[in-house]
Amino acid sequence: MHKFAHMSDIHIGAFRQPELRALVLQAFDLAIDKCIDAGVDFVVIAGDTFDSNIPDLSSVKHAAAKIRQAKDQGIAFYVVYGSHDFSPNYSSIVDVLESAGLLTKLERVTRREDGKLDLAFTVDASGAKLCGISGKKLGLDRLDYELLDKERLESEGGFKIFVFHGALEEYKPRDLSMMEAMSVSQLPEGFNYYAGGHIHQRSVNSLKGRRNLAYPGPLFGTDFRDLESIAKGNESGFYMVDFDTDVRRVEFVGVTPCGIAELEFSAQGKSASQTYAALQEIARKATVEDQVVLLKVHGELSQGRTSDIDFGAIRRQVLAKRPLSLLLSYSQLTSREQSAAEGAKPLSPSLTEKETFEQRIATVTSPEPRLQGARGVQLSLSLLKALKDERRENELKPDYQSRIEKTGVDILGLEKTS
Amino acid sequence: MLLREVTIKNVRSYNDDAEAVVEFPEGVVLFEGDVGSGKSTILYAVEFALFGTAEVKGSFLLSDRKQSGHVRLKFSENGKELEVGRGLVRRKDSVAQERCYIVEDGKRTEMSPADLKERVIGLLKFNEPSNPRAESLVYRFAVFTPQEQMKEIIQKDSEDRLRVLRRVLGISEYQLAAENSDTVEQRIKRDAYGLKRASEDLEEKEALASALSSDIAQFGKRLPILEEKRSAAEAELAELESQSKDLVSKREAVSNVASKVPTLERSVKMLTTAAKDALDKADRLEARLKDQYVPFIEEFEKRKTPSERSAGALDEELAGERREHEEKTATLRVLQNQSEGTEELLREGKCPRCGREIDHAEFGDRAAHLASEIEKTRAEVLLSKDKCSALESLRRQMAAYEKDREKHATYSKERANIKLDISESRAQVWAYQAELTKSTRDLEAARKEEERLKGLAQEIAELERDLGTSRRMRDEASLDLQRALAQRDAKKESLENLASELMKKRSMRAEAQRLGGYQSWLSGFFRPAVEQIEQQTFMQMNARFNHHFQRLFSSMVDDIDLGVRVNENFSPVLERQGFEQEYESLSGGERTSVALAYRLALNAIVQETGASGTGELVILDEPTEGFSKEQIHKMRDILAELRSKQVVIVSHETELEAMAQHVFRVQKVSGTSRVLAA
Repeated sequence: MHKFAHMSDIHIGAFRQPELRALVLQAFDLAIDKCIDAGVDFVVIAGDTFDSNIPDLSSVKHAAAKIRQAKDQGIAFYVVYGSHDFSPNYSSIVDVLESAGLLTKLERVTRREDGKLDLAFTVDASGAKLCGISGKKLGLDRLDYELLDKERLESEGGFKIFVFHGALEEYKPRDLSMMEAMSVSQLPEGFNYYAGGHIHQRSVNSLKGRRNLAYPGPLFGTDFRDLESIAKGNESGFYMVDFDTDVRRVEFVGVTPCGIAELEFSAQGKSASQTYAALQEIARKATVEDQVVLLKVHGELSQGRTSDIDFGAIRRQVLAKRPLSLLLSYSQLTSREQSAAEGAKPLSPSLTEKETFEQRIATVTSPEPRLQGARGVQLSLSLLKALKDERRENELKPDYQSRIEKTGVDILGLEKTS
Repeated sequence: MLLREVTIKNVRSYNDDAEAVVEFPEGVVLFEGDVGSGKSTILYAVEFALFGTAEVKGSFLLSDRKQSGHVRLKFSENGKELEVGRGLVRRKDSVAQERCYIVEDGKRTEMSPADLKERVIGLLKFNEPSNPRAESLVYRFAVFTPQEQMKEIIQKDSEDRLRVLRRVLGISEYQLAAENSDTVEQRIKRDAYGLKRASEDLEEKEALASALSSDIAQFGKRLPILEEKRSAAEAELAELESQSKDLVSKREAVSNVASKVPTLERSVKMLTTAAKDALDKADRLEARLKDQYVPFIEEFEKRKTPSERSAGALDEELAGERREHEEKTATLRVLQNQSEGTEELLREGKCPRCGREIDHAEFGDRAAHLASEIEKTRAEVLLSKDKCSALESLRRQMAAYEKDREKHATYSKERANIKLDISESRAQVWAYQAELTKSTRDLEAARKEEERLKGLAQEIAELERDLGTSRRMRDEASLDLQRALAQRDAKKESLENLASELMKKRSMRAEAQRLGGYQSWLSGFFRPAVEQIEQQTFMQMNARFNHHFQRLFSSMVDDIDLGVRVNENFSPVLERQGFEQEYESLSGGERTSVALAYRLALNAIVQETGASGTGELVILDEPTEGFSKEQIHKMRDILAELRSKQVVIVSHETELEAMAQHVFRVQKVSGTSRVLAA
């Protein structure tokens, strides 16, 4: 009985925050340690080993050392490009590591004269035969599948693993409905295991003669959505597969470099001050030491502005609890004013002035005819225009006030009294 | 505003004492050149020409080792062609501005640097106070923002940014209007308060007027009664006065008699007293004569003189006798001394001086003789002493006699006088008694007359009492009436005065109420409406700003996970997948994109509002710093979208050339900048 690990979407180098970037590496270390402990024959990484084709080198250095540690234990690493670490001219860090003998790229393609693509198998020491197609940006890999000589692949005997990086229409999660995807039927049939990547949600399925279509999801979060998913209880990790002539067992192995706490608050119908107080209370009560904290605030404030909430202070309050990292989201928090102004027409302050006075003039209860109705609106507009007048150069403040007072009472027709 | 032409001399690297003339066509104008070639200096020169040295110091602008330099800028605003010029001159420790001018409608006007800035801000309708020491924030935000400053603005304290944006977008004028509304309202409130204070006793005065009216009505009833009372008193008085006329003559007689009796009584009394006094005096004089003068006189006249000799002769004899007595006494002393000496010698037996023995016999005789002599002399002394005593006694008797004789003479004279006085007093007594008799008789006659007239006098007295009472009553009635009339008139006058005061106060009260209505209108309607307008306009601008900001940013940055927006304070919020991102965590290109999108969004919103005269022109200083080639190429679309008539770009990116309608190359040759049309 042999064993291999199926990982994908490790995204080494992901995150701008150093502490999150370190957690990605930590997850990778944990996963490799588990592989070593389990005595796997090889590790398959189905794309996006790195977050970009040229990630920051300190992360690469760390990852390479870990791979080297596993290699020294006789564990081989088979990879395809993912959409993130793809390089059209083979100058990705994946290529660098392959050149260093740490990784083996599975996409060994030759274009035949008839335009078809021949994909060669790589045979592991365990006897497993592996081949794969890299993921490319903008769904460019779809053409590869169209040109792929599947029959040749399907006719190959032995324990076969097909590695790919892309979404499948049939298994696309609902929230990724807009994502580029191919049909399962574009994959060659008859493989013992289909090691998928790209979809950050784990699943193992069988369909249309393709058994063990597996997506392990990311090893750890590679973006905020992943972290939210983990916080909601969706454990991240990889698959450990036992095989001889066929797959005997597929086991999901969780990788948890740290806890992720999601603190969520709905400000719907609450004022800015109430929301701020509630967030302070949440921060006060939070026990988040050595965890990644996701603090999400959403909803429409009934009163006040989002900027009235001192998120900086909340941030400081949470950070005082010594979490590993704090991620703050209030993009879905709006104020009533903002909502009212959404989709505002092109600006016309003078129209706003007139409309506002017209809307409010009905509230005037004064018996003075000139303060009511259309006359009241006209008076308001005249007064507003006059009262916008700024202090002139070299005009002393008392003189300015006197001028404004006089202008005001003149416009209101009170000059005889005053 | 559209730039036309700038002429630069000795400003930074335009330092060859020649004027560099740079034209600004309309459309997208690119000044392209290497870093440090002098591109940005063109922009600094434009800003200096417009606003002076508030932002860029003169020492920064004036070329090294040059004593003076200048900038002239031709530009148009709202179809009006204008030219401004400013000079720089090096002084001992500083660089100062000089020779500022503006050409409007072909007319050149020299101005101070501060005045020129104020004029330019006014012409450009920048809607900001002209502070010669402060940069023009509208220009800085909406027209030309050096790229590094744009990042500062992005990261600026939100209050500062908000304050500037409110001004740039014309929002601050609503706050000003709201504050000024308070000023006007306070003024009206003060006026209303003054009127209220002045009329606060209206109710009190109205009560007073009512009380006065009531009092006046009371006088209407009371006055006829008082008039009647006075008439009755006058009638009664007239009757009494008529009666009194008849009694006037009788009263005079009564009066005469009445006055005569006391006179006579006093006369009788006086005469009686005088007669008695005169009689007493005569008696006293006679008694005195009898007791004092007559016995002495009679006794003296019986006495004889003690000596026939005169007093002088007695004195002379006494003096002689006294001399003799003294002589005898002296002789006796001499003899007694001699006798004592002799007795001494006899006892001693020898002379105390010469020691010689004395002759006792001789000295015995001598002593006996002396004793005899002493005895004789002593007898003589006693005799002369007796003589002196006798003479002295006689002399005293003589003196006493002389004194009594003088007294006798005086008494004799006094006695004669007293006798005369007694005679006179007796005569007076007689006279008084005669007069008294007459007066007594007259008095008795008068008393009889008085008695006779007594009844008439009483009648007169009673009538006069009645008259007095009647007059008092009449006077009191008149006084009461007059007082009542005066009171009524005073109250009438008070009421009239009060009526006019009441009219004024009612008018004041009404005006205060009217002002209160205006005050309520301002505070309850106008100000909240202005605040709503401010808030609404502000949020509309915020939403429009967000619209432009997000649109522009997404057209520059491909990363769909990275989003930007501004919060209500126009503070940029950067989010990746909805989670907040620090500005510092962005790449250089992303930062530039945020800053440029923010800047262009601001320009777009300024154009929409027309808040400031800035929409026609945009100046971009190195707008693509840190951009990838792809991003730079996207600038074409962004520039095409800008609706500004003139876009001036300063950049070292040659890729932008293809996007510009006019390209100028800025080169530095031997340390001097040149601008060449490409």
